[in-house]
Amino acid sequence: MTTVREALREVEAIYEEWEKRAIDKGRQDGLEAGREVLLEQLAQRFGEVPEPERKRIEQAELDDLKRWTKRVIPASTMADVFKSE
Amino acid sequence: MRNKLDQIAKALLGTLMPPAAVVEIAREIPGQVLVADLWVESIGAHANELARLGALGTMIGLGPCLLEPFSKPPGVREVRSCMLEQLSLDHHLFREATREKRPELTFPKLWIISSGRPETAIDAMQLQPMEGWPAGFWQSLDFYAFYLVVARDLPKIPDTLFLRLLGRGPTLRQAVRELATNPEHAWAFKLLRHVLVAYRLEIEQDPEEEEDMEALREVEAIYEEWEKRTKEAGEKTGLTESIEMLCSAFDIEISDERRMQLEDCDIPRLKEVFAALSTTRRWPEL
Repeated sequence: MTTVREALREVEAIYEEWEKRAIDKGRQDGLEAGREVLLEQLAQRFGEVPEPERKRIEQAELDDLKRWTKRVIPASTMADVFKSE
Repeated sequence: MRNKLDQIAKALLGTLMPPAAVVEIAREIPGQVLVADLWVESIGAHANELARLGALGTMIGLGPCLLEPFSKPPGVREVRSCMLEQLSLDHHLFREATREKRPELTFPKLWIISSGRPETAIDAMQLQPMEGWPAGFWQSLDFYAFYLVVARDLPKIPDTLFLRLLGRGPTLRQAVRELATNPEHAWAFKLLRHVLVAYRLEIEQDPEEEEDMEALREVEAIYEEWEKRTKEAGEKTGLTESIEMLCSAFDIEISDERRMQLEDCDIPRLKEVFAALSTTRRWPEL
């Protein structure tokens, strides 16, 4: 039989998962602005952004986005922007 | 076996009552297979802590008690099971007090809180309406210290709100609406959001009646409102990160002062800051 203590834990877990999902969804919407600017800068500098690079940007987290944006101006090719360290 | 909604109801009471009362959840009664699910003592509680719980606070202020919520009206056998818990717990507390040479506690009260009216149990136990209490409160002879609350029959006043949250159908729907809209209950709404989400998920899985679906819709509105606010908080974080990303690319320092300015911005303002940064490559006036 489920005790109240277990019920409370279960309820907490459901709630935290739900809150985490909602916050993350909002955060991704906010980061979208940064992603769009990076895509624009890449397109202006090197022409159309190929699908694999576009996908990487869509799925990237903040650290990668920062690093790539910083490299757009000094890079000679699009590959330079995305190269690993 | 009592159903999941009863467990959620206990989670609701267990969340709501501290610090007005010490709530011991799933207290084992030695020598018995029984577990007293919600054993409540309000010793030392401040009057205002009890008062903010309304009628529920008045109930627990009367003395140590067992609370037994039932999402379906209990039958005579279920009432007897609760009374057995009450008697067993009293017996255990008496022995404990004797062994430790402490004064004996008063006989624990038993409060059954039922969503609807258990007519058979009321007749069988010859319960009487409680004098000086609103409709929906019943009691046995003092000797048994047994009380019954019928959520559906309670007057729709703020004082009875937390008890009506243990109702179903229209009773639950109205109580949830009051909880969400009355600023006086904001503290409780904040505490109970996660319990309401669990209610929503549980009712969604097993909608027994059309009325429960109506109650679900009321909870759904709260769910959506909270989801919207939570997403907005996330979006502010994401936009701030986008701004950090541009500042990092353009070698613009974000001082503590600038960071604080960003924290004060709402979403449209953050979007303006971002747009200004991306076109001018300079920190805008805020």
